[in-house]
Amino acid sequence: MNQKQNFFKGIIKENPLFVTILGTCPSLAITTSLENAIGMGIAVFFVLVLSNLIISLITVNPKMKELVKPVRIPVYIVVIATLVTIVEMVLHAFLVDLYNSLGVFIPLIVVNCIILGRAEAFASDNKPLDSVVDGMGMAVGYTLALMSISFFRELLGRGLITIWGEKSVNPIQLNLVPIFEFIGIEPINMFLQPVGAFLTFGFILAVLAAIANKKSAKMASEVKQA
Amino acid sequence: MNKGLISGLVLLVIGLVCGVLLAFVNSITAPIIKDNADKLVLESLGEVYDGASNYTLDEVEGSNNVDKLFFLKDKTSGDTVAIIYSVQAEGYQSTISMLIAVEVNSSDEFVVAGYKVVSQGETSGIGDKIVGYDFNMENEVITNMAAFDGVAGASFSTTAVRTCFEAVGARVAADFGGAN
Repeated sequence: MNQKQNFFKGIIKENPLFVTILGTCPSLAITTSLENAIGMGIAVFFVLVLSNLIISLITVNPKMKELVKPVRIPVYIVVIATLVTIVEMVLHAFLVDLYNSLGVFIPLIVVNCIILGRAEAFASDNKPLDSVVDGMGMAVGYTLALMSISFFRELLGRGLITIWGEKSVNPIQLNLVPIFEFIGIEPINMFLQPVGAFLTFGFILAVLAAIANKKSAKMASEVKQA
Repeated sequence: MNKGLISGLVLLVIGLVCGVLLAFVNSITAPIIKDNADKLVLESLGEVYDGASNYTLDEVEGSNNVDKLFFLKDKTSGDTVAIIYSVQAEGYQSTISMLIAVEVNSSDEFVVAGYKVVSQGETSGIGDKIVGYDFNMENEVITNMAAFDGVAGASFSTTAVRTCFEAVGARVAADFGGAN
């Protein structure tokens, strides 16, 4: 597998949220706004890339790998918890709004299955560069998945998406309120509730499954014709 | 040497390195976090009580829901002009923090001079409407909650705000023997 395939597998083929269904709890909880999703994605990117790099560096030497093997899970947790605490402190110091909106889900990145999963399944058996690329791909895939869920939830639930509204004079805005008013309905608040998270997640999974099924059916018919 | 012991030592060393790294990052971020918190308090005090920056500030630790009391005192006479209570209560999915300013009116009653929700993490579009909402408590006697007006559809968040006012009322009654 070359580096390009290694990177892109995390975005499409092995997307941690939509394909392997890992780390769904914080993902569904924080996707009430696109801004939160981007913030969480950046935090996970930092932790995942660095944890993959550090764990790969620790286990790259066969002798060291043998020594760490009996205590590898505590080692992973110590490394990941350190990185998450650093992210938490930096967010608390420099991005207070984001720190407040992500709340308890920042420290919970420590037990995010995606990070622990990549450490055990990939970083501990691969070279540092490959592990970094894998971490980047997985983190980008995770961030895009979070963004797609939060896009629909915020748009349907509030009718308005605003990114960095308080930080910028020209915030990025997508306003559907006039359309809602034209139809004569209110934004659907349900999409901001947990039930909305499950519905949105389910619909996206269904659409992706339908696409995958169509693709495999097409491939099967092509094989038959051949 | 025992292999298990060496593995344990490796874990210990990794833990120590991580500890040193955390201490280093903390030494950089802790003063900034404290500055941010102080700035927020001063800004918030000014927003709940006009001209708060013109007074001297005495900070006292509180108890139960009231975690801090800020006494605004006249710079020359040293008389207490108002007390701002930093108070917290549990909302639907987060802790709601409020600042509530109380002063004595011409009838010697303790009345609400201003209030503000300073931090919350309630549901976007529903519970977060408590920020900037007029709860109809301005100039009301702090122990009288009859005029309190909550946010429709956000009962958990509203109840938390009401709890904040009630906690301040109870504290005023305990400290000064009643609201008037």
